[in-house]
Amino acid sequence: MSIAPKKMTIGLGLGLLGGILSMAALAYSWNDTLQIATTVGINLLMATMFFATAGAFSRTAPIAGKTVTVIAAVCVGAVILSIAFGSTLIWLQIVLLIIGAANIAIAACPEVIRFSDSRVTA
Amino acid sequence: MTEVKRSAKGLGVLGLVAAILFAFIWIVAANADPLWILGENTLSDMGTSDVELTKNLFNYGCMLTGILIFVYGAGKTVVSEKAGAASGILLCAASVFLFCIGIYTNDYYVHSYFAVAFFVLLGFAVLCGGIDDGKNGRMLNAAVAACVLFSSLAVLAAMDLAMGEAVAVAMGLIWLAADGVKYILS
Repeated sequence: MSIAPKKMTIGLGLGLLGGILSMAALAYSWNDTLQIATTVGINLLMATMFFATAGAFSRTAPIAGKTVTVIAAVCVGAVILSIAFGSTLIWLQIVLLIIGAANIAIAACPEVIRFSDSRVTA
Repeated sequence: MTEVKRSAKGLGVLGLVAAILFAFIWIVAANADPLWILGENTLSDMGTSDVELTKNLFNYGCMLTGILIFVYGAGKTVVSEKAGAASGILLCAASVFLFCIGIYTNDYYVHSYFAVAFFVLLGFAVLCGGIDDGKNGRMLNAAVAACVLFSSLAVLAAMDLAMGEAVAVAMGLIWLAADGVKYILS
């Protein structure tokens, strides 16, 4: 297998950071009542998508290059849902949006797509 | 035989202008009417506003943007193939309903049918455009399409119609602008 591009390591790190921040937002939003379930659920969705993006950037994940881009895009979609719903602090949402956009930019790089496709065919 | 070189840059500018124009109209019309609140009122409420500026700006804006998107969709159909051409045809159809939204305001019972038809056709246009971009290796545009579709559907499912509609229109404009930029840079 060829050496993974450095960008993929950066994408993996950013994905993990976004996931951890989303989990922190989830913990922050919990107030011991059932009424908060939707807010907690949206924060959990964000965390799940960020960890999924991080996983897609890992060296051994058998995921095609185009699929990595779509996962990163859906992750940003989840952040936009969080912004519209107001599920956590706005500055945190902006940070998560920047992380998500950076992940899309990394996933759309031709060398990242080529390497990801080589993992599937290898 | 003389080979004629065709450029889609003008088409791209048209798409970008349509997106910026509608965003501008939305911001100005919403600011002119203090009773219109994002997330509480639907966009269509601006078409029947008591404020004359808001009402005229929104209704004529819908018509003008509808015409621009129709021309853009027709051009996209000509310069694209397969899914891209399908996206152009769907955009043309959606723009006809956007034009009708400007004529038949919230007071008419057909307004909601036109609005639903517009959003459904726009959604499929974005989907076809995203598939075309993915197949042609334009992954940033494909990512924008995926993001637009997911966020719009998720907000419509999770929140009320007013907020869902606003997010869907905003995301639709972002897709249109990104699609226009794609042709400008090509």
